Amino acid sequence: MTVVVESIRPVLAVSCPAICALLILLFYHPKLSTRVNLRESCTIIASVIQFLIVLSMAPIILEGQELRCHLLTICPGIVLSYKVDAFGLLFAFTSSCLWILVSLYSIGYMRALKEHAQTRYFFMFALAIFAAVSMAMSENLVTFYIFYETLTASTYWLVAHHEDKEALFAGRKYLTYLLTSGWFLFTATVLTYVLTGTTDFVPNGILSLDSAAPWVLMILFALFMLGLMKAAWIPFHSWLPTAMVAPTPVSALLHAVAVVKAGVFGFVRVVCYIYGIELMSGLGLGLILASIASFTMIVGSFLAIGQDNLKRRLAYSTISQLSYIIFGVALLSHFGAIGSMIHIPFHGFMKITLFLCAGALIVIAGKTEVSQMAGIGRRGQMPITMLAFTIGAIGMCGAPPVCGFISKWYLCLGTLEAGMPIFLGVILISSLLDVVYFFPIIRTAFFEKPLEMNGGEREEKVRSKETEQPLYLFMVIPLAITAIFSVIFCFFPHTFHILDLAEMAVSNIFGGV
Amino acid sequence: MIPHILLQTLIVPVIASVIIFLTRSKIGEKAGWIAGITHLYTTVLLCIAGIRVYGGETIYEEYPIGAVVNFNLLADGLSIPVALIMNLICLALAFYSIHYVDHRIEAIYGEVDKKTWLMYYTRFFFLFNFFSVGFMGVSFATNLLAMYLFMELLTVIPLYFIMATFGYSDFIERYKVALMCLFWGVAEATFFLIGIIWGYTQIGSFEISELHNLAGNPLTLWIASFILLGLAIKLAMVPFQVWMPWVHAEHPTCIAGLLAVYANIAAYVIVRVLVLPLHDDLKVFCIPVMVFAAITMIYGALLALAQTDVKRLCACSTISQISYSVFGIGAFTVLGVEGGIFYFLSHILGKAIFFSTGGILVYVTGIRDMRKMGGLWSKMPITATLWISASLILSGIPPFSGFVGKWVLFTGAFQFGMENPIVLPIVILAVMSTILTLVYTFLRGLQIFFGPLKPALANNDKIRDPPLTMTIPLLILAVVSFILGVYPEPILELLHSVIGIL
Repeated sequence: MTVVVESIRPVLAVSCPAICALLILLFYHPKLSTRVNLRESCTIIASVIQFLIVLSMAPIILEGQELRCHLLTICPGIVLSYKVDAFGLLFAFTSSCLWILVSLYSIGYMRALKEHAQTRYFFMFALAIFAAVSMAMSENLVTFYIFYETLTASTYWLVAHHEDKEALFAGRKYLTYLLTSGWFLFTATVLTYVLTGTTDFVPNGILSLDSAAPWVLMILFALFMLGLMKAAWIPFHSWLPTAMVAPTPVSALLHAVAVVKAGVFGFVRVVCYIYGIELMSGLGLGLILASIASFTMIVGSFLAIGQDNLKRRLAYSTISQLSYIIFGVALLSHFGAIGSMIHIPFHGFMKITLFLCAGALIVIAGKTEVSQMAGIGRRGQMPITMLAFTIGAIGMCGAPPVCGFISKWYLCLGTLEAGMPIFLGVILISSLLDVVYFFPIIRTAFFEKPLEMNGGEREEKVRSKETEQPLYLFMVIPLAITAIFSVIFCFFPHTFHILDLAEMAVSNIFGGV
Repeated sequence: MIPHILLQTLIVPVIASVIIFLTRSKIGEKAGWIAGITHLYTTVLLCIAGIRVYGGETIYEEYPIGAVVNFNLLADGLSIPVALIMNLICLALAFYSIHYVDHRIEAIYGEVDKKTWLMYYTRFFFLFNFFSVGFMGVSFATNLLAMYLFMELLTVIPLYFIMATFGYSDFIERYKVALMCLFWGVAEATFFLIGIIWGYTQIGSFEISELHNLAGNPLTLWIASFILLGLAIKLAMVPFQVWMPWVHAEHPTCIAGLLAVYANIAAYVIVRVLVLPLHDDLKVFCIPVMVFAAITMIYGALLALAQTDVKRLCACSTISQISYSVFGIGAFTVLGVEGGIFYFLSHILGKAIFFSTGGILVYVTGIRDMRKMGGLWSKMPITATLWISASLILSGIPPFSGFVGKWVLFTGAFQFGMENPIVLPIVILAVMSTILTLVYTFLRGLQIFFGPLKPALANNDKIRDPPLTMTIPLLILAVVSFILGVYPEPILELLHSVIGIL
């Protein structure tokens, strides 16, 4: 059993991005350009400190302790408090680790494109990370809900960053979907509180068949599902591809770190910590959820095939991949849950690699569509970027030697453990479809001849485009790092205790069964 | 110990009014300050009374007049928070009005000589003080007839006369709308009066404390329906919502915030007169009231979405917001009623800011059509902040008081829904209107304050943040709402001390 210890560490971890956001505002000066460097270094330092704090919590958690920090009791029911358990730490780790890399990348990206309103951008970015880490560490549904809305509000500014017609439209769509889902989540939270008198996340769930009639629990679950539209399950996914108009680091943040992961994180929390495995299987909700997730996996992949815009293709790929995580918990089996939990950081690393590559292609080569990318991976063009892209793509398909293989392995084990081999077929089909939409990109990049070859001029150029400007290194290095880590995680899934934490969380959930 | 602490809150504003009236040609512009300081004084008194009540005391003062009528005043855990917040809003709006009325007079009557200007200017503050008299009277009265008289006082003196003198549009239109408001007010009061007199024939008393004798009486339902009908008109519930947008749109904006209080105070009256003494008999009203409240919540919000006039937007928002309290009260559970009253307080705070910010926009730009505004953020940052905080309060987003109100209210409503599953979908639907609130406040906020600055506005140097007497009171209201949102315990405890008996 776990022991709950009062500790200030969760607050310290969360306060890093919050303080960083405030400092960014303080350093704002419309004309002084030296302030810009100050602002950026502030972001980097805060992210590194946060990552170290989060990492320092891992050994404590693995010893069987849980760190709790109570903030505020506003009125009966509205309790703001943080509690870090193994699963929460996993998400916090993903967010804080990738924040460092995305910040570095943002510097290169935003400066190279000379984007406007960079202060607002970095401010909202820090705020979004603050909300995401807070969600990871929230002890109860109310805290979770509050930061869910904070995340929506802060990322709106990032989605609508360009402020042109398209971006504003995307922003509106984004708000429409996510605020509506916030309404459902609020309703579900209140209803949970009324049924049980608490909203805490407890490993075996707080609801039981005694708390209400089965149909009420079914309605409640439907409310939760609608409330977690951030997980972009079909048919409530269309905000996600539309939001691709945002700057690429934001898309990376949305898709790999904060927003969508917050949605699936919520799903796992609801299934395992509010309903509990027993109740889910008792009501037959696991099967329903697994079916919806399978549907999303396959349809998402099919939709991805038809996209020419690289970022949109990646967005549909995300929709499909997120459902692996939902699918894993919906199997209600030991291995399935491990698979879905480790897929959160693993998918985070792989998808962020892909997005950072897409962003680098936009900035360095000015290419957004897949059909323009003939020969882009050749010598003299962008070989490092495309190599990283290849690693990410292989991982998405679940093939070794990239970490997607590990999580997919656990998911397959989970289906067999749950006694539903038909879902094994779903995973295989979906992986196959992943191959169908990713490998053509790789083939185009490496094996097709560049379209605008003009004589021997290009041939002589040995130095690749990626190193032309020092600013580009800010982009290439982070994406190389994430790609390398994606490979490392495959061979050593215990790096940063990822697998240990997932196993621990799952054994807590299933401990009482 | 302060003698007659409750009576003072009623009498002092009247005395101030008389002073303003008698010395109107001498004090001139100071009239506004006199009104403001009067309210400051009464607010301090109420704070002291509030601390005493919080300590467990119940303040009761007897002022008998006749056999059945008296002006006894009672301050318990229910009336003190309501009175305090209402008085606070009167205080804020008194200061806000100081500049605004000047602008109104100029807008309506043009350039007038000093004497006429003084006449109008002092007339406003002379009438304004009666608002707080009426509000305090309704909240502290223990006698139904006294309560009726105070409600009529509110309708006739401040509301009718202020609108007729300082309202928008032309002379004829103004009087027409003022008259309409008066008619609706009188109709509402008449229903209320019929109800209480009928009750008198049954129990022989107008005392609220005696009302529980009606329990079990076969006529109770009829009596209650008359009272409820009267109050429903006042609350502008569907299908009696017609008067609200008109009245709000025609009113000078500086007191439009008080109109929301004027309408929403009926929620308090429902709790005081019907829910607390007669809760067992009136359970049949629960579901119909909740259904109508839910319809009003959504209908009002949809109406608000369709408005382009900044003042009508606020009016329609009031229709929707008032029904939140009614919805909670309709659930008849402890938390529902507490949440209803708490939401009432949160709403009037938010609405006072919202309306007055709208007023600032009209004051500064001289236009009411929101489509003609845009990009005002750069010119009026404080105003934009106010608008956003009001939006946060109204749509119930933490850390402001609206969230706590919403939470408590819907917790209560869901508790009721657990007993009657048929209500469950209604409650879920009612929560939807909160998202609509978010949409209409923020969408319009974006339209007014963000985006490109309209050229007509860009070249106008007069467009900037208004004088501090207009913004600081509103900022204080926002701070109060914030405090209630983070630390609502005292108010909830006070309310619980009375409502907990349910």
